Amino acid sequence: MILRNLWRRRTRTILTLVAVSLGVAAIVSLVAIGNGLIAGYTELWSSSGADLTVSQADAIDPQVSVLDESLGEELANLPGVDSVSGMVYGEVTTESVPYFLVFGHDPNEFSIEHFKLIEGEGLSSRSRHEIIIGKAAADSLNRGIGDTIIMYDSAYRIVGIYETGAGLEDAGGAITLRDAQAMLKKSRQVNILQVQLDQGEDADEVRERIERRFPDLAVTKSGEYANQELLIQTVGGFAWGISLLAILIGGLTMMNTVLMSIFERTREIGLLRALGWRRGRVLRMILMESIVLSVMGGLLGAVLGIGVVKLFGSIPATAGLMQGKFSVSLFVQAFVVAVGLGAIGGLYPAWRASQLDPLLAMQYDADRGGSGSRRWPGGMIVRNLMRRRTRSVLTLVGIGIAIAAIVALGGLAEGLGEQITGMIGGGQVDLMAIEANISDMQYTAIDERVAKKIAAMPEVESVSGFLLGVMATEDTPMLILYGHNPHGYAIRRFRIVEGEGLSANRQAIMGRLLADSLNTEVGQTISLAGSRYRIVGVYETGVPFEDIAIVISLREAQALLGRPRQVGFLGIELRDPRQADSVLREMEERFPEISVSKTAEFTESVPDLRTTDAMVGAISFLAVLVGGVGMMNTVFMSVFERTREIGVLRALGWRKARVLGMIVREAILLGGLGGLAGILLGVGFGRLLMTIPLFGAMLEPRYSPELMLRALVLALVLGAIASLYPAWWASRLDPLEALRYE
Amino acid sequence: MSENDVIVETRDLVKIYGDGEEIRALDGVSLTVRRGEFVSIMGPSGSGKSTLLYVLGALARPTSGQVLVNDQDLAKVKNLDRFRNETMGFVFQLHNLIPTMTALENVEVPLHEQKMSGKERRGRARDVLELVGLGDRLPHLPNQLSGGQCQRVAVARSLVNQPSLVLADEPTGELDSENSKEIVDLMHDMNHRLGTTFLVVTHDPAVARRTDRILIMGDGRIVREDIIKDPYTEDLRILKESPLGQAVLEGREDLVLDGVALFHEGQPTEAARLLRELLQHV
Repeated sequence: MILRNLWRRRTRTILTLVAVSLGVAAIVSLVAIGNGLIAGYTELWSSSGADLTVSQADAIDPQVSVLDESLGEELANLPGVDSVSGMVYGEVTTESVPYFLVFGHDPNEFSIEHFKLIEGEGLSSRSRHEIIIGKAAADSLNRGIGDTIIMYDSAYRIVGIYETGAGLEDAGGAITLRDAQAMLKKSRQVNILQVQLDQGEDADEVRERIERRFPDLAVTKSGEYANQELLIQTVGGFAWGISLLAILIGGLTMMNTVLMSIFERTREIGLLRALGWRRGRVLRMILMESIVLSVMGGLLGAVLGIGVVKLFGSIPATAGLMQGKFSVSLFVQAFVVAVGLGAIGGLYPAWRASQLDPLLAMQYDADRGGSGSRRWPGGMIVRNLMRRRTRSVLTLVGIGIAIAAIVALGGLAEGLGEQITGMIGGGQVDLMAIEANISDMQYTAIDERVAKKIAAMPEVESVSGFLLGVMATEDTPMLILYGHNPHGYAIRRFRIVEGEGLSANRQAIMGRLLADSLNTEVGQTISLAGSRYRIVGVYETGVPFEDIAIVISLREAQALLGRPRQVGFLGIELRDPRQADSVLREMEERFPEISVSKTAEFTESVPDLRTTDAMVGAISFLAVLVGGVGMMNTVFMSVFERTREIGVLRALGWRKARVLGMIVREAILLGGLGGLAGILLGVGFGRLLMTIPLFGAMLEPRYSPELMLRALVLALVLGAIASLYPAWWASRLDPLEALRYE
Repeated sequence: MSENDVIVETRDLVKIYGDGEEIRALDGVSLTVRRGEFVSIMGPSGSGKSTLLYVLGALARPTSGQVLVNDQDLAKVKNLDRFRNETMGFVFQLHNLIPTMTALENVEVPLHEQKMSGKERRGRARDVLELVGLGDRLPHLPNQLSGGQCQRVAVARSLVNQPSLVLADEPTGELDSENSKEIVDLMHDMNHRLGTTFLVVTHDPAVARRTDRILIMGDGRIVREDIIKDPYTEDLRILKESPLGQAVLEGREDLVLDGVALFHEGQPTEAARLLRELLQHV
C-alpha cells in the first residue's frame, strides 16, 4: 500500500526523490572528494619508500614548510640514516588546469625511484625544463611524449609518463629538484626531506634523535604528515558543511511532500480511523511512506554522487585534486542521513495525521480546507499561498536557506576581498602587485630587486612590500604572520595602542584581537617555528585580518618563511593617480613576473579569491538546485490541487497563457518572499559566524547592494523557472477532464 | 420563425468514448433551440445529457455530426476558447467558484479575456451581482457564503459576459428545495429580463416543469420531448390530480379558473406565488 500511495502521485514522488537524492549526492561526492584528497596526501608520503618525513615545525601544510637544502646532508650523517632525499612541490596554474601538482625530485636520489615509467624515459641530472607526467594527467590533459606544458611562463617538454599508484602524483607531474626550486622560487630550499633508514633501525629512535638535535623540525614516520589532523578537519568539515545545507533543504522538501500527501488524504485517514485503525498505525503508515521515499532517494543520491565524482575525476581542470575515495562507511553515513531525513521529515506530518479526529476528517473538504476564510489583501495570488500555509512556509524556508547560503557566503567572500585590499594598501596605494601565474596567494613571491626598480620609476611616489605567511603554534592552529619593514611607511598603519613598535631583532607586535584571545601581554614571548619573539607592542588597524595577526620584521619573516630577499605583495603609490592605467601597462610590460592591478580591481586578480568565488558559485548552485526542485514540487502540488479550478477557468474562456501567467506569478511571489527571508537569514548567519572567537573576526562579511540584488533576482528567477513546467502542465489541461477531476 | 431565431442546431450528433470498449454517449442527436428559449434536458444517469451539454458548449468535440451555435459551425471555429468566452455562460453542479477569489472576482473571471479596463470589468461584475441580489456580498469568499448564494454567484458569473446561451449542468443538484427554487426563479427571471437562452440539465422534475420544453434522453438519444405551454397551467394540472391539492383548492375556483391570469406583464401574480407555495407541499 505504501508504494501504491507513492505511485499515486508520481510527479510529486519523483521531485521529492530528486531533492533528497541531491542532498545525499552532495554528501557522497563532497565527502568522497575530501577523503580522496586526504588519502592522496597520505599516499604521497607513503609511496616514496621513505621511513621518516621531515618538515618545518609549525607549518600547517607541507607546502608552506621550508627547510634548508643543506639540512639533508646533516641528516644523512646521523647514525642510522641511510639516505635523505629532498622534495619541493607546489600547485601551479597551467593552460587549462588551475591546480596542477608539480613535484621536484633530485633524479639521483631515492625518492624519484617510485615514479615508475610506463612510457618514454625518466629525468636525469642533465634534464632542464623536462617533465614526466602521471598517467592520469596524460589522459585528462590529452598530452603525450614530446608535447609541452606551460608553467610560470616556461615550457616544459614531456619526456615520460609514469604511474606511482598515488592519485595526486598520477594526476600531476615531476621535474628535477633544481627546476622546481627555480620555478617555485625556493632556491636551495626544499619543502620536506624524506629519510630512508639503515636496515633494522628503529624509526622511532631515529625520529627522537633528529627532533632532539633540531628542535625546529617536525619528524613523522611516513604515511602521515605532522599536521595532517588540521587538514583532515578542514576538508572534512567543509564537505559536511556544504552537504548539510543540501540536506536541510532536501529535508524540508520531504516534509512538505509528506504533509501534502496527508492533507490530500485527510478523508481517507478519517475513514481508516473510523474503521478502527489506531493512531499508532496511521503514524506508522505515514512514517513508512516517507522512509521508503528517503531510502529510494538515498540510493539514487549515492549513484548520482558517484557519477559526480567520476565526472570531476575526468575533467582535466579538476582531475588533479578531485580523485574521490569511496568507503563503505561513507555510504553507510549517507544512508543513515537519508533515512534520518525521511524519519524527521515524516514525523511531524505523521503525527498530525494520527491526531486527526475521524469524524471531522471524513467531512473534510479540500476546497474548504486550509484557511481561506480570512480575506487577505493582495488578491487571489496571496490567498492561494495562504490557503496552504504550512506548505508555503516550508517552501519559503527551503528557498530562504538556499538564498541565505548565497548571501552569507557571498558576503564572506566580499568581506575577504575587502580585507585583502585593506591589508595591502589601507586605501593609500594606487596599484597593487602580486606574483603572476600563481595558483594561491600563499605562494606569491616577488624579488626585492623588482620592488626597487619599480620605486625608481619616475611616476612612482613610493613602494612598500611585505610578506604574509600562515603558521601553526602550540596556542593557535592558524596564525597569520606579517613581515614588514620596521622603517617603511606601510608599518605605520599598525597603530600601536600599547607598548611600542618594532625596533630590534626578535621582536613582534601583535594585533589587539589576537592578544586578547591568546591572553598575551606586552613583554611575553611567543614561539614561531622554533624561534622565540618578544611581544613589544599591541596594535590596531581596523582590518580584522591584521588585528588577528602578528607582525615581525621583514628580514626575520623572510628567514622564517624561507623567502630570502622576497616580498609577497607590493603596494605602489603614484605621484599622479590619474596615470594609473598607463603606469600599470608599463609595469606589466617591464616586469612580466608580477601581476599589477588597480586597487579597486585587485581582488579580481587574487587567485584565492577567484577560487573562493568559484566555490561560492558552486555551493550556491547546489543550494539553488535543491531549493528549485523543492519549489517545483510545491508549485506542482498546488496545481494538482487546483485541477478542477483550472478546468473552470479554462471553460469560462481563460486562455492557456493566462492560466500559465497566474501560476508563474504565484511562484515568483513565493520566490521573492523566500529571497527576502533568505537575505535576512543569511545576514543573521553571517553575524552568527562572527561570534566565533578569533576566526569570527577574520570572517567580517560585507553585504553589497549588488549581492542582495543578485540573491533576490536569483530567488525570483528560481520561482519563475521552477513554476514553468507545472504551469505549462496546468495550461494544457483539457477543461472538461479537469472539471471532472476529483 | 426566421432562421435567425435559431440559436442552437445539431444534426446527427454522435459522441463515442473509450478505445476498446466503446461507449456511445450520444447516438444521433438532432435538436433545435430557439433564441430566448428555456430548455431542460432530463434523463437517467449515463443517458448522455451532460455529454450533450458539453458538446454544445464546445468543451468536447463530437465524434461525428454537426453543431451550429449562432449559425456558426463549431467544427470550423478557429479559437473555441474565445468563442466560448464570447457567446456562452456556464453554471456547474457544484458551484465551482474559485475558493480563493471573492464573489466579485469570481464573476470577473470570464471578462479577463475581453478587452476592457479593470474598472469596467469590476463595474459589470458588480452590476450582475446586484441583479442576482448579492450586491452586499461582493468582497466575500465562497466559504463565507451559503450554498444558495454560491450558486447565485455562479449564475451571475455565467451571465456577466452577456452570452446568448447559458449552459447549466445540474445547477440545483447540491441545493435543498428552498434554494433550488430560488435558483430556478433567478434563471427564469434572467431568461425573461435579458432574453438569454438557457439549456439546463437536471434531475429534478420540479425544475424541468418550469421550463419551456423538456428533452428527455435515454441511451444517447432524445426519446421524448414535452412542450410546456405554460408552467402554471401545468402546475395546476398536477395540483388538481393530487388529493392534497384537491383539498386545498376546494372552494377557491376563482383563483385557478384561468392559467393566464396567473401572469401579469411577465411577472407571476399573487395567485401564482400562492400556487407555487402549495406545490412545495404536494
